[in-house]
Amino acid sequence: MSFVNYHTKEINCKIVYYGPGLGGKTTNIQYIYQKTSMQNKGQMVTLNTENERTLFFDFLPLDLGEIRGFKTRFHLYTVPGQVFYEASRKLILRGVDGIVFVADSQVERMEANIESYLGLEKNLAEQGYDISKVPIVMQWNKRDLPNVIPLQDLKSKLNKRNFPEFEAVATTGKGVFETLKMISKSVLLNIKGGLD
Amino acid sequence: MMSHNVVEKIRQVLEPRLRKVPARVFVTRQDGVSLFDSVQDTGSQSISALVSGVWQASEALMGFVNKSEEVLDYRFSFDTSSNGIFLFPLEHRGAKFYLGAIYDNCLNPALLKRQMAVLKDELQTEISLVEEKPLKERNGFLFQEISDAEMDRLFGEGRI
Repeated sequence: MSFVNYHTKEINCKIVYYGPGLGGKTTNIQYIYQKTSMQNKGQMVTLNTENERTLFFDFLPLDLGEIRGFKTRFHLYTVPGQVFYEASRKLILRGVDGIVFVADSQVERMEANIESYLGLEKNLAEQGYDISKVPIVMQWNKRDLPNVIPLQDLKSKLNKRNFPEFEAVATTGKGVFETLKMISKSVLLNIKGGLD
Repeated sequence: MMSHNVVEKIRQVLEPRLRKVPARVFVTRQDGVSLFDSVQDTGSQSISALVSGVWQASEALMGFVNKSEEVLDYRFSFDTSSNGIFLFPLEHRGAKFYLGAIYDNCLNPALLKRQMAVLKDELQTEISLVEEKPLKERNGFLFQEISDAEMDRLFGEGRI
């Protein structure tokens, strides 16, 4: 749940990058880290296996600036994508304010995308979230590869709820900030508790 | 929902006592949001995220063998004879958070641990007395709308 300090006018939000293994979640966060100025980012934390697969999570704190006088701080997390890390994914989803689902556009990864998306639905429901009330943005990553699934197929299989969606090539940064900007806006608009 | 009152109370309780505690002392929410840190640097948010992760992972591990113990009875400790970290859980109206200390080259870690345990009890007592303004008194959403130009400004101005 987002943390709003009305006295000091600070907003803290948690955004989780979710999706199948090797889909580009960590690459998204790494690109954001590389392109963000030093004074607006904290230390990036990565808990990896020996072969650089995400073991527990990646974490990047972003201090972006003010909106209507409120200082905004976004905490970006990735989950481990490999199927056997389900317990870790559940832990990282606790307190989530918004989700970026990073799908791998390659034909052979469609089954993994679907499995991961169904897992997301299940994990959110288990933690008492109503998926229709959680801000979610879909990112169709790896659009530069030759064997990609047509966008319409991705949409029909993974985005029946019509979440905002973006094409991306996270390795070059295409679509990375567009996705982040959209989920940030959705999360900010979803913060409950109006001003006195 | 945790209010400014609780955050302010944490600061009021901890700050006068830090002089006697030879460690970096912090309080973090269960979801990794930093509420207090005796050292102000870029590491605060990362420490909070890791603390949240390590506590929740430990809690999940204990779930494999013991499902009955109350979480608030646990402590977390990772240490040598002079360096380490330990964490104590706190609770305020159903919201969990953690008081922690990281220390390096400490001459008497046992004493430090005792100091932190006392501090945890004091903090728990003090915050349980804090009056909270119920969330329902703040109706609706914080922002009714945000323009694309405002988002562009948030992500612009040399930040990205």
